Amino acid sequence: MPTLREILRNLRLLLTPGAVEEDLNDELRAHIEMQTELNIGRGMSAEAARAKAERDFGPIASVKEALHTVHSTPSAPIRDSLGGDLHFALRSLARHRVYSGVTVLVLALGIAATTLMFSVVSGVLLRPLAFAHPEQVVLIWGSYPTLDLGFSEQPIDGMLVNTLREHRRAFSSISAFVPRLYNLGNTASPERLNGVQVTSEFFTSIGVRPALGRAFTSAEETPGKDHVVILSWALWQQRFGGDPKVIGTTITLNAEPYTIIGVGPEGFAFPRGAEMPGDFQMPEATQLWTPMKPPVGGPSELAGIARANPGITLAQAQADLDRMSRMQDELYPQGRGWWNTRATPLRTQVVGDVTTMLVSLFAAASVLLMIACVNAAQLLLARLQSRRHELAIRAALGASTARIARVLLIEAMLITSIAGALGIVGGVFGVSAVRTLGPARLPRLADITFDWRVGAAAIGLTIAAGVLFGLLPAMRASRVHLADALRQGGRKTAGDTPSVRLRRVLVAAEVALSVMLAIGSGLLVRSLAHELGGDLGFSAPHGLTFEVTLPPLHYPEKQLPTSMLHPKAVAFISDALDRIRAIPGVKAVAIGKPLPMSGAQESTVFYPDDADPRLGTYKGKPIVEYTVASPGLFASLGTPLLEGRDFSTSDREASPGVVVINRSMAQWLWPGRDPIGKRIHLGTSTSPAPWMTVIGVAADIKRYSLTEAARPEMFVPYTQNPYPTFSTMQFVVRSADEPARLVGPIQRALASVDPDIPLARIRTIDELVSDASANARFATLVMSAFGAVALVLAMIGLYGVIAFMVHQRRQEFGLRTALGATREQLVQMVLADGFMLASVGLVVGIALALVAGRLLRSMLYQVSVGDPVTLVAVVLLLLGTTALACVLPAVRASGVDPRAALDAG
Amino acid sequence: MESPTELLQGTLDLLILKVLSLGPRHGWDISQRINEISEQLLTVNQGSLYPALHRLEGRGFVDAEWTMSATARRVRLYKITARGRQCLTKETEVWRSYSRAVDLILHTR
Repeated sequence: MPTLREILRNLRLLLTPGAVEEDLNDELRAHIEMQTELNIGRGMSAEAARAKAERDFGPIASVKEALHTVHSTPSAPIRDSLGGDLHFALRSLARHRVYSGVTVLVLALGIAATTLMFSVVSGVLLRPLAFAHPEQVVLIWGSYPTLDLGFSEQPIDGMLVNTLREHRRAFSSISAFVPRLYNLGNTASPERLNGVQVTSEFFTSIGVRPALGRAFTSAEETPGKDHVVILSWALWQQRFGGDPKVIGTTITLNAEPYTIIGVGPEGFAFPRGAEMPGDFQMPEATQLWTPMKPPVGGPSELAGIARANPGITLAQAQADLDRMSRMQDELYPQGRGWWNTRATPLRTQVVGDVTTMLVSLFAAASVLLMIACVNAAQLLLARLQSRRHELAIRAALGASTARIARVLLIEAMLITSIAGALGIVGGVFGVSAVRTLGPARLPRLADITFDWRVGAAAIGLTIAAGVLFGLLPAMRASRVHLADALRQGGRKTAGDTPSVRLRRVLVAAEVALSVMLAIGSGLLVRSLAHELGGDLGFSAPHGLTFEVTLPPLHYPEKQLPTSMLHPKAVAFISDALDRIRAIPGVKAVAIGKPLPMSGAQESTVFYPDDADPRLGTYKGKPIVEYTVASPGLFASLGTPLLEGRDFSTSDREASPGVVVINRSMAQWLWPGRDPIGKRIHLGTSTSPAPWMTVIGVAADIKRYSLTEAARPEMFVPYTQNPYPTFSTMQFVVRSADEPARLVGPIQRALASVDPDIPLARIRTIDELVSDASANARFATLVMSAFGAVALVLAMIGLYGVIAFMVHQRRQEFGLRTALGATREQLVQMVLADGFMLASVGLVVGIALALVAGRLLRSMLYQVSVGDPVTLVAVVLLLLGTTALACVLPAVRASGVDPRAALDAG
Repeated sequence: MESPTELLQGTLDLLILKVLSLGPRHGWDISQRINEISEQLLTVNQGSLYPALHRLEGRGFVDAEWTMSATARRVRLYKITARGRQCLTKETEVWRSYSRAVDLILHTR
C-alpha cells in the first residue's frame, strides 16, 4: 500500500506539475550558488567561481530529466503490482500526447478499414445464403453460343420450362419466375409495387417457407385460381402494419382482386435486381409474389431456378439439363439449337462480378493495416530511442530487464487497446454507412454485418506487430549500461544502431506499400474519369425519366403475330405527351423503351435490303438493339441526329414503316454509302414482316454500362411496333432547369389523362448514369481514401526518421556550419537522405503495384495497369510528400547554432 | 593526488543515509560532507545525487522540507526517517560483509 505521503506527493505531481518543476529548479540553483560562494571563498573571481560551479555540476537538463524519471517511477510499495505498471504506463502515454495520439489514430484507422472491408467481404462473399441448403440451388439461363450479346444470361422459354418440370431426374424442383409490376389499389393514390410472377414450386426451389400462411399450390397456376399473393415481410410491415389478420383478406392489384395467402420470411426479397443479370429488369427488392403457369408462345422473359437432389454436382445437374434440351430438340425440331441452358450456382449468381472489386478492396485494407502496424512500430522505436536515457536510469534504479519490458509491453497494449476500441467503433459505423449508402448494385447489402472475429483478429495482429517491433529493441535498449547512457546524456547514441537501421527499412517498406495503394487508387480514378468522361450518346443534365404501367385490364395487349399497340394505349401515350409538353419548363418529352442505363434492353433479329450478303453477322451477332420511340426521343435524350429526320406524328400505324438506325448499324450495313432510304424488316429474310425505310441516323448510345463498346441499334416508332411487351413505358423529359421540380406538374398532367396510373421509378438521367457507375465509384472512393491515408502515414514515418536523423547529427551540422558549409548545403544533405529513402520505397512500390495491379485489371476501363500518367502522378505526389516531410527537419538542421551544438558535445 | 574515485553503483544511497544519520543537511552540504569525510577520495556526481535523494524520499527513507539556510537562502533540508535508519543499519551490515569478502579475496596469496 502506498503511504499517505506518497499519495499526496503523487497528487501534487499530477495537479501542480509547474510547482514541482519550480521546486526542483530552486533546489538545483541553491546548490550551484552555494558552490559558487565556496569557490569565491577560495579566492576566485565571482564570474570564474560561478562558471566553475556550473561546470562541476554538469548539464542541469540531464539532472532534471533524471529527477523527472525518479518522480514518474512508482515508489517501492506499488512498484511490483501490475496496477502500478498500468498506472505508470498511462501517465507516460499522457505525457507524450502527440506520440500516443498519432499512434492510436493510425492503428485505429487501419483496424477500422480492415474490419469494415472484411465485414463487407464476409457478408457478401462468405456468409451462407439464408436459404435451406443453398448449395443445391442453381439458376437456369438460356444459352445460345451463337448469340453473343455481351452478356451471358438469356431467358428460357416457357415450353422448355414445362419439359424440364416433367422430365427432370437430377432436380427435386424446377421453377420459373418473371418480374411484373403491380399497381396497388384502385383509389386516388395508386402505388406501384415490384412483383414477381412465379411457378408454384418457386418457394420450394429456393428453399424458404412463408413466415405466415402458406406457399402456392400447383392448382394456383391455373388461370382463374391464380389471384392469390404472398407479400414480402417488408411490404407487410410497411403497408399492413405487420398485422397477421391480413392472411385471407383481399387487395386490389392492377384493378383485380387478389387474396393474401402468405407473408415471406424476414429479409427475403428474392429476386433482387443487384443479384440478377441487369437485362432481366428484376426489381431492386421483390415486394410480392403471384403464381403463374409458364407462358407459352411469344418472346420469353423467364428466368429459371431449380433445386438439385442432394449429392448432385453442378456437372451432373448440367448433364441432366442437356439431356432434356436434346429431348426438346426432338419434340420441337423447329427450335433446334435454341433449347440449350446453363446452370449457374445460386451463390455465383448472387455474388456475381463484385468478387474482384471486394477482394481488391479487402486486399487494399489489409495493406493499409500493414502500413498502420509498420507506422506504429516505427513510432514505438522512435520513442524507445528518445527514451534510452530514461530506460538506462530505470535499469540502474533496480528495474530488471523483464520489468522494463513489461512496462513497455503494457504501454504497447494500452495503445493497441485504445486503438482497437476506436477502430471497432469506426468499423461499426462504417458498416452501417455501407449498408445505407452502399452502391445500389452491390449484392447482399442487407447481409453485411460487423464481423467481430475480424475486429479481434485485426487487433491481435496489431498487438503482435507492436510486440515484435517494439519489444525486441526494448530488450536491447534496457541493457544499455547506466554509465554510458548518463555520460552521453542520452544524445550521442551512435547513428547506425540496429534499431535505427530497422526504422529506415520500416519507412522504406511503408513508402513502398503506400505507393502501391496510391497507384491502385490512381488507376481507378483514371478509369472512372474515362467512364464518366466518355461520350454517352445522350446528355445527362436536365433530364428526367419515369415509368408508367398500363394495367392490361384497361389497356389490353394484342397477341402475335399481328399485334400492334392497342388504340387506347396509343391514345394514352399521345395525350400524355401533349399534356407534359405543355408544362412550362419542359423543352422536350418522349417515350423510349428501353431508355439507356435503365436495366433491361431489347434486341431483335432483322433483315437488311441491299446490304452486302457477305456481311453475315455483326461480330458474330445476327441481332441489333431494338428501341421503341415516340417523336422527340432524340431531342429529349440529347442524342445527336446525324442524318435524316426524327419520327413525326404522321408516322402512324397505317402509314409506311420507318426506322432510325444508329451510326454503328449504318457503318456496318452500308459502309461508305448513304443509309437514308435503305430498307430493313424484322425477323429473317423469309419473314412476312413489312419493310421499314431508314429515315435517319442517330449517334451511338451507351445502353447497359458506361464501359461498353458501341453496338448496332434500331429505333421504331411506337405506333408501328409489332412486339407486345409494351404495358410498361418509360418517359424521358428534357427540362430547362432543375428537372426534379417538374415531378409534381407531370403527376397532375398524367392524372388528368388517367387518374389510376401512378408514376414509378422517377429518376433523373444524372442518377441513372451515377447508378451505372455506382460500384466503380464505390471502389474508387474507398481505394482513394486508403491511398490518401497510406500516403499521410508514410509522410509521418518519413518525417519521424528524418527528424530523428537531424537531431542525432546536429553536432555534425554545427561543425559543418563552423567549417563554412552554407545553409543550402545542409538542407540538401537532409533532403538527399529523405529522398534516398523515398526512392527505395518508390521503386519497390511501383514493382509491387505492377504485380498486384493485375487484380484490378478487370475493373479498369481504358487504362492499363502500367498507366504512365498514373505512375508519373504518383511519383510526383510522393516526391512532394517527401519534400513536405523533410522540409521542417532540413530547416532545423540548417539553423543549428555551431556554438550550441559544439557545447553540447 | 589521484583523481577522485567514482562512486560504486548502489553505494551512493548508503553514503547519503550515513551522512544524514549525523544530522539534517541540504543537497550541496551532503556532497561536501561526503567529499570531506572521504578525505577527497570520493566525489559525488550531482547528476546522481539529486535523483538519489528524491528516490530515497519516495521510498520513505528520508524526509525533506524547505527551510532557510544559515546564509538566509531557501534550501531543501533532508532528514533521515526511522525507516531510513533501519535501512542504513541493514545496508551497513551488507556492505561490511561484502567489503570484508572482497578484502579477503584481494589479500589471498
